[in-house]
Amino acid sequence: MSREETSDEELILRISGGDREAVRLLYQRHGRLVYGCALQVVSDAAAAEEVCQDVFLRVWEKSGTYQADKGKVVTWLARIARNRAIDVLRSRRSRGIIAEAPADESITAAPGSGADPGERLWQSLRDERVREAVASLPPEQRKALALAFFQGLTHRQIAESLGEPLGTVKTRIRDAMLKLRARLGEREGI
Amino acid sequence: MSDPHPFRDLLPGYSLGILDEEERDGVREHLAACAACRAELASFREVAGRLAAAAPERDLPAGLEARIMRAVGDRSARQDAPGPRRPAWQPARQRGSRWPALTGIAAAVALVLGAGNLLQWSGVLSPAARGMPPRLSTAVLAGTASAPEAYGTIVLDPKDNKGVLAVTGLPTLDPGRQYQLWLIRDGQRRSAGVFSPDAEGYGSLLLTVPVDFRDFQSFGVSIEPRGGSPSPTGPRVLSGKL
Repeated sequence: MSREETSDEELILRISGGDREAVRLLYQRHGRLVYGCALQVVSDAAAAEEVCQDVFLRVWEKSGTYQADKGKVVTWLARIARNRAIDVLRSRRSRGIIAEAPADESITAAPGSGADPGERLWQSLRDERVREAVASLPPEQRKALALAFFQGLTHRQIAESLGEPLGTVKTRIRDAMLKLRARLGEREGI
Repeated sequence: MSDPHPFRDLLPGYSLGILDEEERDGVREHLAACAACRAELASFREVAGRLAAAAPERDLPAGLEARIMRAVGDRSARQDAPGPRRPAWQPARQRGSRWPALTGIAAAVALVLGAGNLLQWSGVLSPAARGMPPRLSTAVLAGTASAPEAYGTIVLDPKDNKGVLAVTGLPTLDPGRQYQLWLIRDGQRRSAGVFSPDAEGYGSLLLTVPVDFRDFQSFGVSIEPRGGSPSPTGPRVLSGKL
């Protein structure tokens, strides 16, 4: 069966059955996204490479955690990549390699380039529908969500970083996720 | 009437992994028993997945594919030979002849852990759902801040006062330390044995409960010196209620 004829879900099934070649096919199909997703968070090529390797090893060992009725393989992979990258970022913070609770100005490794760094990350999203959904959020919700999503800061750390009350930050993030769910679900059936 | 979904507002934050430890523990415990909140969480996870999947693709580093395939091969080599892969949870040491029923249960429990999906637990762990004898009781253990990815379950058979613990996601310890399971009753802790997870963080323990286990209200797992301690001395990594 050719690579084009095999669905992502079939590849996951084959991996569950011990087919190593299916891991290679999944990597060739989605490796660029997984790597890009990791790089977006850790801003370091070597660390992103480690994350990418971890993601595909995890797929190899835990393909049974994938539930087709909960979403596509690609979103599952990307979420694992983002979570692993956040783990790396937190580990670096705890070891003092990077600031413990960075201000939002340090959200990317491209300082001094003008626009709000969280905004730049949102605007760099490849999927136009997702980019538009995020753009429809109020700016304060986008900013709080950027610190949560790209930096993995807790509600409390975000509140400290922005100088806002904890309850306000919780509400912003909850409302942002509710709006995104509604907006993306309109056409995608989330 | 109390709110049946007291953690609903925290589910978006939980899906992003940005809750404080205390909040996270509360949500986990509630999720284990609430199908509606599990479904709600799944929808927020999908949103998080969509955000992540919208990331710009990047050119892959040279040689990464080969390194990944080599790593996959290495992991495979550590598993049992040909045929279906041995699940990573499977304990290296079996005492099947002595405890045939419980090792069967251990396999079922560990299969669940192998599936690794907390959202499936409550249904799968239901004794009736798995054809287990209805007398069996189960308890879900959630990871603490010291081991946030850890989780596990205990299945107990009150007839024989025996049970099995199966866990996953535990950090590997240095050779001088082991994990120790504690049975907790009225603030008093009684050791139920020590265990060491494998390189992938999976561990299991067959245990004998000295008296009717229903006397115990909760369970905990802590890091202790090899061989165990008379009472907990190290950080708690897992906890759960019966």
